[in-house]
Amino acid sequence: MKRLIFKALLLVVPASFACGELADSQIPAVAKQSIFTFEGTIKVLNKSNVPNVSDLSKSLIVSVDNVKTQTPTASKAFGSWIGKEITVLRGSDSATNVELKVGDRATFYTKPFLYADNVAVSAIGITKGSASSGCCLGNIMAMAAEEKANDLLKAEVSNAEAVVTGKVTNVRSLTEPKMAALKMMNEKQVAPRVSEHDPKWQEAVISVQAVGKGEPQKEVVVIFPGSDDRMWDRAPKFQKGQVGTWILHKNQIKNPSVADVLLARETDQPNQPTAYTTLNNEDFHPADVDGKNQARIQRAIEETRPK
Amino acid sequence: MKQTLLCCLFWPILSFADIKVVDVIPKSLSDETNNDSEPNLAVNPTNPRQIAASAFTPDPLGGDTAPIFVSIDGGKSWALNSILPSQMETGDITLRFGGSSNVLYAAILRQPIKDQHPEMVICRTSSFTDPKLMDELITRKGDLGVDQPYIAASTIAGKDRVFIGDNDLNDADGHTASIDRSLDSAAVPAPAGFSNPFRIETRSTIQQDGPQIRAAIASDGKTVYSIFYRWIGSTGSSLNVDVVVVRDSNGGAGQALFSDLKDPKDNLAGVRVATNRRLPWDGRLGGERLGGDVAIAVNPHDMNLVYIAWADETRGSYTLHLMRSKDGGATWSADLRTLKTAKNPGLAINDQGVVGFLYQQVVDNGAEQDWVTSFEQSANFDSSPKPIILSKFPVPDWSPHVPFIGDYLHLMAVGNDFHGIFSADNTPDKANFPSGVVFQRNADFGRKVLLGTDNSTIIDSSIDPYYFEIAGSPTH
Repeated sequence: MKRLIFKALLLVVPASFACGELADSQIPAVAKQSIFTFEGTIKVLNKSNVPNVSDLSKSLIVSVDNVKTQTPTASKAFGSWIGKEITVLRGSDSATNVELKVGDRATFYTKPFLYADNVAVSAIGITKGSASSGCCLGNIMAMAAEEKANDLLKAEVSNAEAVVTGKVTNVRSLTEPKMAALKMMNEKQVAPRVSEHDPKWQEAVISVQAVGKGEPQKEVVVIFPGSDDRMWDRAPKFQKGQVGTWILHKNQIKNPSVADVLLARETDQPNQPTAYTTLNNEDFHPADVDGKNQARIQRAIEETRPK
Repeated sequence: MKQTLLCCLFWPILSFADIKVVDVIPKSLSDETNNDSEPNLAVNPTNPRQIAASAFTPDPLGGDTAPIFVSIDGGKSWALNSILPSQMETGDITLRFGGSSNVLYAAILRQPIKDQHPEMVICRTSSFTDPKLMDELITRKGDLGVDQPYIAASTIAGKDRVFIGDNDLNDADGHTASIDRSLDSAAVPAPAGFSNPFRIETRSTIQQDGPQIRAAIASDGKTVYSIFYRWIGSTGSSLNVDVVVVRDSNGGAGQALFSDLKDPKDNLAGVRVATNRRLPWDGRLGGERLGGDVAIAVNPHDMNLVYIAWADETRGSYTLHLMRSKDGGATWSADLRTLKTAKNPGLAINDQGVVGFLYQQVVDNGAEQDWVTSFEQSANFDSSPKPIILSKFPVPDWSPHVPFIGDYLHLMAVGNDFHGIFSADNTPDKANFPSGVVFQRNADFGRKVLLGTDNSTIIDSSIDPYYFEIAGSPTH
């Protein structure tokens, strides 16, 4: 339904942004690509408030009026953006070469460039006028952001063996048989070598409350990296008592010998659970009060289900 | 002896004016609390005002590229430029400029990690301050991954030569200590002269070598050294290792690379400087993980004069050793310096032959333990010079994420100047920076607190990278 609304909104946009060089049909795609989207007021043309800008004719200083979309990383790294003056670099394409003068308001779709005393971004699209004054662009951008997140989620769900909702009942080291098998592989020189980026595999035992995709099962094991090395920052890590939805994979460990060991069904355990991995950030969604996470995942399951 | 006496007589005490220490986090990132550890540094030898630096620093806007720090005023001010082909941040990263090409090279482990094995990417740019993404020259992971790429670069006869020490874990024989090299990396299109890695290990191992592999290129363009740990055994969580130095006397050209230094005991390539040493793997020192540290530098005017630093566990303490060879690596001195509870060595030799030695050490001051970053310089280290303390801060009483300050740092020389980078706590306390410091980010040194971009909100302290320059070593 949201997709339909999204497409319908596109039909309304042209009237609001006739002045922009960014074609209206391009807006959703550009909005999805944009890392940082904001409305701003032009303060200075052909100038920059950061060093290292070689072509000032493509540079302008903009005061931020309103942030439309930004990443969680950005909202953590920066305080309030309102009133901050940042440099926007335009490209040579028509999408960013909008005719602008001091005092004009515009919406900027951007990617990161430079962080010095001030911040500079590279524009991938500019629409003249205030999005908030237009009836629909704010909604389009919100939906573009949601689409972007949903695309990632759908890719993971589509690629997954199973999707389950449940609770972590135990976190432990790899089981003895798996440890022994890995050790034997090491001796036979088929196991991964040692590096400071070793995942240090651990197991989370999940008591399953609902199955969204895959065969019914009461308990599963998630093999996850216990390492706090930077290479594993984005892999979800688990603690006893956590509740949420896991997108479970059998294809994330590429070394087939290692995968055979780690992902083997744990027949020595009481419930003989199947083992999976969840190595991507999108592979675990904690339970939320309003159930939005679960609804998103359910939608992703439905949209990726083979017809 | 005569040289030592002259040094003592004419070596003035360096003042703050001779030492520059700068926290490279830009002002616009005053709200950040990231652990910006494991730094690296590249000063352009042709124009030392151009400097690039790196750390485990994410793109602050959360973009799909990773940043490097850039300076165009000799390190006085810094910006962060997101031009690396890695999602938001990199894994291990090192940087180096060509000798006279103005080309910047980066060797990174790309994020996100695709399975459990890191992928190495070597890339370059001829305009490191521009927003253009660096060009990928070669990408390699194999079935078992590549670890800790560390660059050395020079320009010989108008062509950039790049040597990257890395632990390519894909060798079936366990000869994983490797060098990726190009003899013309600046001008040629990708892969720019890079191809398969060259295995510098010649002996049996326990399936692999250690991840620390460093190269040093002599100014004659013909002589290239490398140092690495050969892993020969393990006991519990400790390894048994040899420290090996190899040399190539043909500038990295030809087929039999790094085979010009034979160990007289077995006539195989690579002199074993130290044998069967105990080395802790994944132990902790002051909250930082341990697993080996090496550094190497060659005198710019004497290709046979080489210094190395390496770590082992000596009498229960993680210990750094500094040694010298005057005959191209064939024989080695006893320890010139022995530093207990120290890691992260950096070595460089300036145009006057002065040796710079950088390290980070846990020092017990009676009341508490401090992480102390020190720089020493000497004509020959026949006697122990007084260290210059660049930073000190208390060892955390909690268990930090690792790498805490990093598995490595970097020191280099351009002309007579030493340039280096290290990571340390950023509490704005002058007592923590005995050689002085300049912060770009907002800070109140009176109250000893960091301030946010609004210049009023108090921000938690964290780990930042610090560029430093020890300018114009005195003549002797």
